[in-house]
Amino acid sequence: MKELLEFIARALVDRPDDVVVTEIEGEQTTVLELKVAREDLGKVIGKQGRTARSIRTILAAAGMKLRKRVVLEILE
Amino acid sequence: MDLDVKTAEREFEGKDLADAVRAASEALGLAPDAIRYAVVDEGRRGLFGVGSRRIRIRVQEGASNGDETETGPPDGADPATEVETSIRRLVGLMGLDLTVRGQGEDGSVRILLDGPHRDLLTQRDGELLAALQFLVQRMARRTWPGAGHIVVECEGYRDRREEEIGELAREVARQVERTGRPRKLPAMNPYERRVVHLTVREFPSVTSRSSGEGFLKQVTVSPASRPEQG
Repeated sequence: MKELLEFIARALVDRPDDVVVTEIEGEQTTVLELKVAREDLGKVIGKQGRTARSIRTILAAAGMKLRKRVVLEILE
Repeated sequence: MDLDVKTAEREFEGKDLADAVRAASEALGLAPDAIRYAVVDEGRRGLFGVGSRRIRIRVQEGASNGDETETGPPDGADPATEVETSIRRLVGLMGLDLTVRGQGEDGSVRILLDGPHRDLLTQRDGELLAALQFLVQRMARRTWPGAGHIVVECEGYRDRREEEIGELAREVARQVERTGRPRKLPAMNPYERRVVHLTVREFPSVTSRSSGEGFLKQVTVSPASRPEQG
């Protein structure tokens, strides 16, 4: 799951080296924390949060296969 | 025996595409980027390792260790191939069992997905399919500037969806005709709303109009030009 988010985030931002993903795994829920360079924040969120929503949809689909709820948190 | 060394081909396996390419690059002593390959067998992940098959790729030996030996497809559809490879990786990382087929035409790229997990793409009004297309377009801006417009499709989904929406619109239009009461349809994207408006036109006594903000809007079907009754 972590690798998936890293792959997506790195392809979206100007500073891929600054992408950091932390995975916190619970029993039913996995929380993914995404950190990007300040100036890249808009690129992973998008207009009206559309990029973030798309990422969440993709993570949710990946989580469904593992029977997990996936929560994406974008850190400032 | 006629053995052309230049085009000798070797096959490599891996648990995923990156793994197979890594195996090839190690065996041939080339950088992973320099490996030109064709996927022979997409492999499958299987459920809990049951029925899983490793991915197999065929690499043209000697193709890229010379200077500039052109081995790409004859039309040199590079962006399409690159987009295809990335989507394959994305789908693989998601753990989905889907085949990815890319077609490049006039700078735009069309990606067709199919396979055992295709239902996942199209459920909830194709939410996942739309998300994939949107994200891949975003990624393309940075990663493959030459790629142009990208469409991610699932075989036949659009047609079926169009039919479904047309049917729904027809049903609602008939109902409004009968009862004289306006009805609101679920939120839809611009393409889907267009189908509704076009379908509703078949019914002279009703009319349709979109309302709401943003990408998804709702269409209301109501009786046409009757004196307002509140």
